[in-house]
Amino acid sequence: MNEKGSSSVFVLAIVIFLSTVFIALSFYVRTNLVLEMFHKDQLQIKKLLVDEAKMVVDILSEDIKEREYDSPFDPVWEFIEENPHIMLKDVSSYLNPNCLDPPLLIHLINTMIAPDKLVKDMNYFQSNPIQDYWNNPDTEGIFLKLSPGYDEYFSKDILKKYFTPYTYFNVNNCFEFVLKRLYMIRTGNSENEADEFRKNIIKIYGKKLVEQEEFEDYLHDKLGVSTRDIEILHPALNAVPVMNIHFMPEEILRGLLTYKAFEFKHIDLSIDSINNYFTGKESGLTIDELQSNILLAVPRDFKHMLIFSYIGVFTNFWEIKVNVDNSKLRWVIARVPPLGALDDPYYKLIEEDYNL
Amino acid sequence: MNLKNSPELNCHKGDKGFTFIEVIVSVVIISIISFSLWLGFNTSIRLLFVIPEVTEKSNKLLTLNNIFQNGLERITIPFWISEYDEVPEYELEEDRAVLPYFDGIMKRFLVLEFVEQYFTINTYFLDDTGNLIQDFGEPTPEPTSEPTPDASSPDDNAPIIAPPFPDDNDIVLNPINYEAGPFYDIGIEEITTKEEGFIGLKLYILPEQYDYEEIIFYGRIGSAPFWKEE
Repeated sequence: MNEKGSSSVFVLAIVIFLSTVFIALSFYVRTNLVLEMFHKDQLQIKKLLVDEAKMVVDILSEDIKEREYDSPFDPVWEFIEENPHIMLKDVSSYLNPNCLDPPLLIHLINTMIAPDKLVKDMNYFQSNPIQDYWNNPDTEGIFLKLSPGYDEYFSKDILKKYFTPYTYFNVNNCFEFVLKRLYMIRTGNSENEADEFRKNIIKIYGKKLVEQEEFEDYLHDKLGVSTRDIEILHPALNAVPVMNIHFMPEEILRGLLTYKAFEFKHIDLSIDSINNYFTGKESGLTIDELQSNILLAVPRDFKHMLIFSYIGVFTNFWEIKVNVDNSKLRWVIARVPPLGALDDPYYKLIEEDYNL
Repeated sequence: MNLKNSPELNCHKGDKGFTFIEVIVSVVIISIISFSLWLGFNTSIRLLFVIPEVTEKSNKLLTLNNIFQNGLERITIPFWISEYDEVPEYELEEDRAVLPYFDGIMKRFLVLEFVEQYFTINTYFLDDTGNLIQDFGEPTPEPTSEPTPDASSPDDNAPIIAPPFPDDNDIVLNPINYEAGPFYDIGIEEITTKEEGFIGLKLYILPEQYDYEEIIFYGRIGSAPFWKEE
C-alpha cells in the first residue's frame, strides 16, 4: 500500500489555510492603507495650502517696520501675479456698517447707492432711536457676516461691493453706542461702566484727532480709562485709520469728502490730485503726501483732519485665498498696530477656512 | 480451513501491521494537525467577517472625525470677542457643547451631544422667542433648465487657468445634522493654549466597554480672535 499520497492532503489543507489567512490579512492591510493614504493626502494638501499662504504673509511682513504704505506697487503683488492660484485682497478699505456713525452712513448711502438698490430706507435709523437698538442686550448688533446681518437694508451685491466687517473700531469715529457695546463685550464690565466709558470717549468727538502713537496715553491720562481696560480693548479698539487710500473705491472717497460736516470745498481738486499722483508713478502715497493732497486749498483744522481717521495708507485686514486642485484655503490676517512706542506692528491670522 | 496457510494472513517478516503505539502516535499527530487546521480555518473565517465590521467602525470614526473637524472649522468667532465663554448660550459640559458663531453668526450654533450611547453633531439657531431650533436647512431649489455651455470641444492650446475662487456670498450655509454610535462613552474638553487662548475641542471616545484605549479627536475652530490676556 502506497501511503505517500496522504501528505498531499495535508499540503493542500495547509495551502488553503495559508491562502485564507493571507487574503484576510491583505484585505485588512489594504483597508488600513487606504485610510492612512487618505489622511496623509489631506494633511499634505493642508500643508501645501498653508505654506503658500505663509509665503504671502512673509512677503507682507518683510519690511513692516520701515514700510510707509501698503500700495499696489509693493513686492507682494509681483508674487501674486506669478502665482495665479493665490489671491490677495484688501478687505478693510470699505465701509463697515457695524460702526459707522449713522448720519455719515446715511450720507454715504445717499451719495453712492441709488435708492432703488436699497432693500429698506436707511432713514429708518433716524426715525427710530438707534441707541434703543444698541442698548437692547438681545441685539446681536455687531455682525461678522454682513449677510444675513444687513440683508434687511442692502442687497447682497451692494454689501459685497461697498461694505466689510473687517475694520478696527476707531476711537475717533466709531458710533458711540457701538463703542459702549464693544466695551462690554471685551471687558465684561457692567453697563454703567460701559456708559461711563462712552461718555468719556465722546468728549474728544469734534475736538481732537487721537493718533495711534498717543492712543494709550491719551485715553489713560486725559480720559481716565484704566490701563487694564485699554490693554483689553486694544487692538480691536485703536486709532489707526480705517481705510487705505490705495485700495478703497473712489466712490467711498468722494462720499467721505462730500460729507457736509467736513466742509470740503474742492473735492474734485483733491480727487484729481490723488489720481494724478498715481499716474506714471510706481510708488504709493505716504501719510504726509496723502494729507497734503486731500487738504489741497483748504485750511488744516480739526474738521478736515477727522477724515484721516477714515483714510490712511495702510491696510489693516488682508484676505488670502489659495486654490490648489479642488482644495481651497482662505485666511484673513490683521495688521496689529503697536500699543506701546517700543512695539512693532505685526500680522495675526484671525480666520482660516479650508475647502470652501 | 488452515488459517496459517491463508494468503491474506500469511505475513512475512517486515510486512507486519502498525503497532498499537504507532497507531496512537499517528492518531495524536493527525489530531494535532487537524485541530490546528480547524483553529486556523475558524480564525481566518472569523477574521473575514470581523474585518468588514472593523472597517465599517473605522470608517464611521473617520467620518465622525471629519464632521467634527469641519464643524469646528466653521465656528468663526469675530476678532473683537475677548472671552468665548462669556458669549451668550455658550455651554460646555462633559458630554455636551453648545458653540455660538457657527458660520460667523452669533445666533447660529453647533451642538455636540452624547445621549444614550449616540453622539450627535447638529446645527441650531435661536428663534425670536429665545428657543434653540434645530436647523435642517432649506429645501434644495429645482435645477433650472438653462443650457450649459458646450464643453465637448475644449481648446487644447488654451492656457490652463486656475479654477475661480468661490464667491463668499454664493456659499450655501448648509447645516450639519449627524449621528454616530453606539459608543460606550464620549467626553468633550476645551483646548486652550497660553499663546492663542481657546482654540478648539478635544473629543474622547471609548467605542466599546472593554476597549483599553480611548480614541481622541482634535478639532480647531476657524478663527483666532484677540482674546483677553490673562
